[in-house]
Amino acid sequence: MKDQLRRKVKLNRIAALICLIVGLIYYILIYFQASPREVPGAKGFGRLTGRFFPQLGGGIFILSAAFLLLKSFFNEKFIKKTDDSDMLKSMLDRNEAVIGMSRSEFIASASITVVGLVYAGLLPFLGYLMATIFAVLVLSRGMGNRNWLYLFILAVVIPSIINYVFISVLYVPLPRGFLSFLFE
Amino acid sequence: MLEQMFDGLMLALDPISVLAVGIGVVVGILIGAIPGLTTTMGMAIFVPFTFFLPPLVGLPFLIGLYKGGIYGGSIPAILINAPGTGAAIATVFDGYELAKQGRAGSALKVALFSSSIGDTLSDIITIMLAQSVVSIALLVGKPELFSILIFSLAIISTMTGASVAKGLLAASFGLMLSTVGTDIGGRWRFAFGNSDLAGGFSLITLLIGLFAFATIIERVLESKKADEKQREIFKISKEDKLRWPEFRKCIPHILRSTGIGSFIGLVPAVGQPVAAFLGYSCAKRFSKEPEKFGKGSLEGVAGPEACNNAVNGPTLLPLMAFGIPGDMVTAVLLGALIVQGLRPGPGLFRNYGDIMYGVLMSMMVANVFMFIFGYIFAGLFSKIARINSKYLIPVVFALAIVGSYAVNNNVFDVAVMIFFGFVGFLLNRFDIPLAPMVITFLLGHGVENSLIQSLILFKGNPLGFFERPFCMTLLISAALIIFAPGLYHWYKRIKAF
Repeated sequence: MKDQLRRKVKLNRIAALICLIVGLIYYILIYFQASPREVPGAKGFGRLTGRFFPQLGGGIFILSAAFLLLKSFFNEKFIKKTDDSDMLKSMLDRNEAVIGMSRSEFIASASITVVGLVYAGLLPFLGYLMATIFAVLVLSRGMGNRNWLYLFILAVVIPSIINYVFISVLYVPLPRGFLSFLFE
Repeated sequence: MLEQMFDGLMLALDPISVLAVGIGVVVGILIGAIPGLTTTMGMAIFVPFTFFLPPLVGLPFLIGLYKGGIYGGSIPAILINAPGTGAAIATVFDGYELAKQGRAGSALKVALFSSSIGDTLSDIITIMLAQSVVSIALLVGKPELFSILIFSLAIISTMTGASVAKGLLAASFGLMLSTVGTDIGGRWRFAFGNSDLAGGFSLITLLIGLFAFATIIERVLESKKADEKQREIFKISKEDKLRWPEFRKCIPHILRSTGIGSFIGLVPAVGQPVAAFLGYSCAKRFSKEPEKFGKGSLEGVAGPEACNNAVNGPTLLPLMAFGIPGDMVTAVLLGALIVQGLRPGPGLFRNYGDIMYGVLMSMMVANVFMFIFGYIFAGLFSKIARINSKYLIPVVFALAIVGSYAVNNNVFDVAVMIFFGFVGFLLNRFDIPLAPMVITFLLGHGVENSLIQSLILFKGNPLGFFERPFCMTLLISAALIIFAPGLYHWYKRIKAF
C-alpha cells in the first residue's frame, strides 16, 4: 500500500510542479499581455484594470499548485512515518487517485497531438476530404483495424458523407484544398 | 404563462422537432451504450450541427441526445459491468448481478421504466418552476450575482474531484483561460497580436478538444495494450419476464429517488453520479430486503436509475436563470443556447417564452421516445454495447475536426481543439477534474464583469460585499465549503501524526 501511495504522491508532485510553472509564466505574461489601464467607470479605484482579474485567477492557480506541492512533501513524510493502515487506506481511497502515465504513453500522446497539429496545418492545402481520408486511414490502422471494408467505410464513406452534409446541406464552407475544382 | 406553455407544446409537437428529438434519443442511446464513449463527448461533437438548424430543431435534438445518453449508459452497466456513463455507476452493483442470474431483460426493463418515470416527473417539476425561478434573476443585482457565482464555483470545485486543491486548481485554470480575448474595457488580452484569439477560446472548440480529442488519444493508447481483458457479455433471455409484484416493490423507490434527483439537479455541479449513489443508498435503506442489495436486486436498479434521470430536467433551472450550468452536459447546452441567441437570464422567458417552453416540452417528447425505443429495441441496443469503440473513434475524429472548424470556419480552431485534447488527456491522467475548469471557463466573463461592477458600486472597497446579508451569507458559505473539509482532515492527520 505504501508503494502505491508513494507513486501517487510523486505523480501529484509532478502535476503540481507543471501547474506551478504554467501559473508563473501566466503571471509574468499578465504584465505584457494585459492592459494596465483602468476599466471604464473605475477611475480612482486604482487596481481595477485589465490585469486585475487575471492576477486573481492566476494567483489562486499558483497558490493551489503550491499547496498541492507542499502537500505532496508532507504526505511523503507522513507515509514514511505512519503505520496506521486505516489512515493509509483512507488516503489511498480519499484523494489523489492519480491514474498517471508511463513515459512511453506521454510520448505517444504528445506524438498524436503533434500529428494532429500537422494535419490542421495541412487542412487548407489538402482540403477537409483528402486530409481526413488520410488521417482516418492512419488512425484506424493505428488502432488495429485491418479489415479493408471497415477501413473503406471509415476512411472514405464517412468523411465523404460529413463533407457532403456540411457543404451542401448546412452550407459550411469546409476547406477544399487543391481538389476545389471537384466541388464547383 | 399558460399561453406560452401551450405555444411551446405546439412547437414541440411540430413533426420536424419530434423527428429531431427521436434522432437525438437514438444517437444518445447508441453513444451511452458503447463503453468508452460518453454523453458529454457526443453532445460536444454534435453541437456544431445545431448551429445551422432552427432552435426548435437543434436544441430538441441535443435534449434527446442527452436523455438517451443517460439511459443508454445503463445498458453496458447491466450487460457487461461497464457503465456507459458516470451516471450509471451505481446501476452496475445490482444490474450486473441480475444479468449473471439470467435476468438481464428484467434489469433493463426496470432501468427503462425507472428512468422514464423519474425523468418525466422531474420534467413536469422543471416546466412548472421554470418561469418563477428565472424571474428570481430579476431581483439579483451585480454583487448578489457575483456571490451566487462564487458560491456555485465553490460547490463545483469541491464536489467534482476527490481533492479540493485539485478542484481549485482546475477552477482557477478555467478562470485563466477565460481571460484570453478581450478585457472588460474592450482591449485585447493574451491575444499575442493574433486576431483569432481576440474573441477568446470558443467554448465548443474547448469542449470538443477536452472530451472528443482526449478520448481519441485515450482509446488509441488503449488499443496498444495487448493484455486487454475480454469482458463477459450477457444476453437477454426470452424466459426472463418482469412480473408486476416485482415492479410494484420498486415504485416507492422510484418516487423517492425522483424527489432526491430533482433536488440535486437544482444544485450546480453535483450531477448524476452523486445522485445515482444517493438513490442507491436510499433504496437500500428503505427496502424491506436490504440484504439482497449487491446480490441482484431490482430495487437496487430502480433507485439509482430514477435518481440520475431525475437530475436532467431541474439542472436546466440554474442554467436558465443565471447561466450556471449544473454539469458538463448542461455546459454544452448553454453553448448551444447562446449560439441560438437564447441568452440565459430574466429576459429569457419574457422574450423567448414560447421557444423555451418548446425546448422544455421536447424533454417530455424525448422521454416518450426513450421509453418506446428502449422497450422495443432493448435486444438491438444490447448488441450495440458489444461494439468495440475502436471502430467509432475514427468517426469521432472526423466529426471533431469538422465540428471545431464549423464554429468560426477557421482552421485555427481545429489546432486549438487538438491542443486542448492533449491538455484534457493530461488532466485526466493526473486526476484533475475537468468539470470545474469547463464551468469556470464558461462563467469567467460573468464573474469578472459582476466583480468589477460590484467593486465600482462599492467605490473599490471589497468589504462592501459584507454589508449585504445575502452576499455575506453566500461568500462565507463558499469559504466554508472550500476550507472546512480540508481543515478537518488536516486536524485529524496532525492528531494521528
